[in-house]
Amino acid sequence: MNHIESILKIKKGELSSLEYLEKFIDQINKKEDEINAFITLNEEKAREKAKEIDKKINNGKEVGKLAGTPIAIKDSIITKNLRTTCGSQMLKDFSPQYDADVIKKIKKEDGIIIGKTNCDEFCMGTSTETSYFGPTHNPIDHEKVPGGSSGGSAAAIKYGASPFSLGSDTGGSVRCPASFCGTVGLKPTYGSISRYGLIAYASSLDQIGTITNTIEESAYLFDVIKGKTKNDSTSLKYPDRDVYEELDTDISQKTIGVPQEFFGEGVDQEVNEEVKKSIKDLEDQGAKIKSVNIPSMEYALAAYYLVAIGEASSNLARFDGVRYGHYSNKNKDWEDYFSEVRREGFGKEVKRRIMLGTYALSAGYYEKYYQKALKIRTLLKNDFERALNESDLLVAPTMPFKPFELGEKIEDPLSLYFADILTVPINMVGLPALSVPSKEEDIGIQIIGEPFSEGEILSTGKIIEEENQ
Amino acid sequence: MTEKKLDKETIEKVANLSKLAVEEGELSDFKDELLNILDYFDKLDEANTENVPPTSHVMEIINKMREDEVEKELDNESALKNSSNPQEGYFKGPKVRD
Repeated sequence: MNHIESILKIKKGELSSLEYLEKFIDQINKKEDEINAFITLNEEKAREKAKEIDKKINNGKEVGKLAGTPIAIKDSIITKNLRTTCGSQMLKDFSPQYDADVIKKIKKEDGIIIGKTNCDEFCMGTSTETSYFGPTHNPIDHEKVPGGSSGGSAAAIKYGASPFSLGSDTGGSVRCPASFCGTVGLKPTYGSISRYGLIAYASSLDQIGTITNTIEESAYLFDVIKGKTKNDSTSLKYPDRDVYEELDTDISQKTIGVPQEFFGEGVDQEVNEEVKKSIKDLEDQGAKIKSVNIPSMEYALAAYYLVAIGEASSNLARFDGVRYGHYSNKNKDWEDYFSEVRREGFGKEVKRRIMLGTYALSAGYYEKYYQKALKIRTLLKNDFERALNESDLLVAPTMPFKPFELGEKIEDPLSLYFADILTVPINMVGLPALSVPSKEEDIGIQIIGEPFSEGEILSTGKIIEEENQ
Repeated sequence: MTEKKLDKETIEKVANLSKLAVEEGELSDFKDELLNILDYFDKLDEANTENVPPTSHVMEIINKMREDEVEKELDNESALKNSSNPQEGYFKGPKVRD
């Protein structure tokens, strides 16, 4: 069922918000123990809010666009007076004093926060296994990872714990779990959604995105949270239009670019074949198919990691155990206190990335690593611009393989990094990208467009969605 | 050679810069993992980036200025809410020297 219809029913008074919420809470009670999609549940406050909205509707008052619908929020996005941990021991008791901009927008439109979803610690991971709160299991196959880092949000959507969810995507963290869990994940244009209140990992790459069951729901939620705000000076004015209203499944005038490097070495044959089937479907609907190239793709992963860890080593310097977060009772001096708090509070992958980032930015290595990575970023930007001049949008796999077993890759960090090979280039260039399930539930198709072309990529996703129903 | 660029002393220096206490036992683990990743990063040496300018921010925006006006933000009590050691309306940090 499409949950936008439920919102309309609630608005008309044909369905009570509380009744609707209880269906999701029931599902959580049945399955959450097996899946572990949430770090913190917010059932009681959600019930209160639902009653409030029902009362408003009964009294004939106007309600917002999300009228009484539950939303699961990734725990990297801060929520006032609702514990926000970012999957880390460092923030295990952190109760934010304010709401992120996206949360303000959701609350203003009468959305109900049902809980905070599990994620890799500080969003550093591809499997949700680095979370201090234990891994999330993939609802399609419990032995498999849900992808990451927004694994909890994708799993919550898949097992029916919430109709809508938010994730955040620095190098694929929305698209990867969307792909692995058979859901729809949208990483919008960099700057199209305020990052104020998103716990920073790599600021020039971070972007909040949506994970839902359907394309229409993605578009609907994106419209609520998009747009410039004064608190994030990198946020951009979004063209004055509703993406939801823009969805149009006529693709006959479009040229689909197929970037050859996304189908190369390291990408499983099964994945290639599934994506090509969908490209064929688009061709059958009248789209023109064109082969394009991203020659600097082979350097994208290394360059991405250097930018990401460089920014992370600086962003995570704020966690000092003084103003908030994990603290130590040991009476140590300044330097030792911070080092001790951070040794205790951060997990292994976070330490690894901070150390690597610090090293890559340190005197003598800056040119070789960070500066070089920023030059590769320019090459990537040029490559994508060229490819999108030759075509209207690009279609490729989201992940190079299907979900892997829990525990399979976690001991080998580099092999996990390779899982991000097809998603990180998009963050480097700031373009919007979508992951939509192929005919195989746990293989996602990635659709990439020009800045602010969310309507176009979602429309193309909708064609694939309809073909696969 | 990579062996040289990541000796024990370098790791300790990086750990200190990162403000991360690393225990003796963890050092060799870290060393192997970090070396492995750094080796992969060497791939960038192959790329020809002559005359290519760096890109730090992908969208075309310029610095945005605004008036420096006082707004109502957090009050003192709420700002200190998450602090482990608030004292007399302030955050108390660790000692700087004996």
